[in-house]
Amino acid sequence: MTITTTMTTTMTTSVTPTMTTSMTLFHIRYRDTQGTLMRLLNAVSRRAIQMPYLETSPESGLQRLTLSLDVTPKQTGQLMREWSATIDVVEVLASAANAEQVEQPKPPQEVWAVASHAAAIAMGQA
Amino acid sequence: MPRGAELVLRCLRQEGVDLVFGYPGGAIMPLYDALEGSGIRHVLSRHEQGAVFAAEGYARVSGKVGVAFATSGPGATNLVTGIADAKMDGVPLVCITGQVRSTLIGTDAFQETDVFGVTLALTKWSRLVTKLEDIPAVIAEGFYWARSGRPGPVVIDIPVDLMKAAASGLAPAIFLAPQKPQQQKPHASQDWTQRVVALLQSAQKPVALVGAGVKLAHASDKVRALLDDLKIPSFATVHGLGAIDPAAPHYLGMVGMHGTRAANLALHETDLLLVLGARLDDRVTGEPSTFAPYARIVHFEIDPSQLDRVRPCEVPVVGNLAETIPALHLAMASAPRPDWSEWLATAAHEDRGAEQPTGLTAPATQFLDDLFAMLPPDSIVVTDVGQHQMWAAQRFRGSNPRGFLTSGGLGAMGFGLPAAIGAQLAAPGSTVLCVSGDGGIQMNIQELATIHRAGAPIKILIVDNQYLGMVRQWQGLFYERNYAETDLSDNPDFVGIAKAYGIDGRTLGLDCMNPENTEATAQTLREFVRSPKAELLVFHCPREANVWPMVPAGAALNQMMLRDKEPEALEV
Repeated sequence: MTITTTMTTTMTTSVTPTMTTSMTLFHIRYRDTQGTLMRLLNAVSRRAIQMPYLETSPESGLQRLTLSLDVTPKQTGQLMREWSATIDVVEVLASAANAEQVEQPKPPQEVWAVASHAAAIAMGQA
Repeated sequence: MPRGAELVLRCLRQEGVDLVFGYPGGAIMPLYDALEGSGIRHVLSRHEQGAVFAAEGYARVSGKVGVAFATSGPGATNLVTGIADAKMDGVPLVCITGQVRSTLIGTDAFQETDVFGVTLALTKWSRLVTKLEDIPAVIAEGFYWARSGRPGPVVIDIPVDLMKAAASGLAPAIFLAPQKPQQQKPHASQDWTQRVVALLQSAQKPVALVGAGVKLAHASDKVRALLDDLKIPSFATVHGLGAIDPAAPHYLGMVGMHGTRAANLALHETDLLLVLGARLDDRVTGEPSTFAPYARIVHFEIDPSQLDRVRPCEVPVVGNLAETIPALHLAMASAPRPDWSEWLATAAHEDRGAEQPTGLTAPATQFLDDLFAMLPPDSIVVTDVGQHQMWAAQRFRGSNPRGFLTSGGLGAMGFGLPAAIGAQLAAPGSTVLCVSGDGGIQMNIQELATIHRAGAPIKILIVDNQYLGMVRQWQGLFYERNYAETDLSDNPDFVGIAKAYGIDGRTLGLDCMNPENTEATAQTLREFVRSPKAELLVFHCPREANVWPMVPAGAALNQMMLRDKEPEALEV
């Protein structure tokens, strides 16, 4: 399974105005059991943190979720602890997002075109 | 031919379940049809929220997993508040919900709700069962997660067709938890005992904050032994009440928004805070940025996701308190330590002691003092949520580690009465006192029928001020006495309602606290406590009584309001 969304925020967006945020890349390896991905994403959405980029794909019998989030150090700690405590999560890693990952539009345009065509078929417009 | 429903019940029996709470409906009818002869007693609630709170009460007292049944759609959604409550307070709970038949899932069928999705953010683990043969493994895994680590709620959603299907050849399973890589377990470092000992040795004003984790780990005796030895000031969160003997000379009472002055001051002044199984939520810390401003923190906690939420701790000790506390105690046994007696004397000095409530507050707290004094030592007090909850917590002097039950994290009104049912069934030989308010009791008052049918001899006290009292208190203090929609002066006749459900009741007016009525009131309370059956007692307390002391929202713990008619928070 691969899910991608386009980046919509800038690197200076601050969720907590008094704390400095930075774009951080998270890698989570987890067993692809019912609801695990949603629990991982819920840890982000419950804090009203936008998810400008995420991707999930199979990896060595597990699933790998990569998230790029604009977060404060405190939020990073909270997220990593919450994800680590989530059942079926095997590994949680964080690193500073590099420029390519931050700036590259996701998904590629051709994927959007396919998705739009499929949606149009579903709606009887193609 | 055994069916899926019988398989479910066999799996529950294997997990040690002999009592469940629930409410039947269309999608869970096969499970109810198979109940007879299963070895499982079912207690019929009168609302699914009553069932899940009762299961919670049972779990909190017994230490076992509480189990609730509900049907699909509204039955399942009515469980949600209880599931959230169990998540917040770390209560082991398994909810089994019926679901529409497999072929109808996703079609917005009658009484179909995405229960898995609705409860995803509130559960520790959940499954929608899709194959009959998965039932044993799912139930085994669900119970494992419900009771492991920091306990929590689990939802298992089973389509009705699977419960009706033939299940020959299937048997209960055992779950073996997968191990996470070692580096992902944020254990304390190997030398944590040395680090904590060193911190204690350098501390001038150490304190210990005791929370629910001590009870969940069955570590009360070990914590008591450590603190009796260290002789440092100690205090408890609302969920930690009973974990420390309230008669211990180092015990300063409850801490937090409505905690004692002594406990809050000691927590503000300490230079070393030992947090023993507490989440440090905002009702305990006050304004987080001002929490324990001089303290280094050692946090004993089984769930690493609870660490560093308010402030980074110096030493995280991740593990079962039943193991980590004795390890610290052993390490301290041979270590030289400072003389903390002067600090303890200062922290526990009567100048800092709890003021005796005065004015409008006095009757309610005195009434609870008189009532609590009559309870046998192993009694269990279950509260609802509101002013009566805080008064009860402040006045509670029991030393039963599982003797005080309340919805502390979620603060769910309506918790008290059904939770008391579960508590009574978990401890049938104990006196169970439900302290509720005139607002909270009406949120699940239908459970009087459950009490009557179950023959549970619960003592139900309603502290009736004809207001949603805690909200009114805040309106009075912070909203210029604009008592918007908190007036309950048209309350029904609670005694009459109880009698309609087959439960005797009586009312005591405020004059019962007059000196000339002391003996008569005492006699009434004795009869109430000693009654062999369920009884309801309504006590009319002053309408505008407030809970004191109080740390206003956004204030530091040393900025307590101590009594009525203070124009501003008093910094002490």
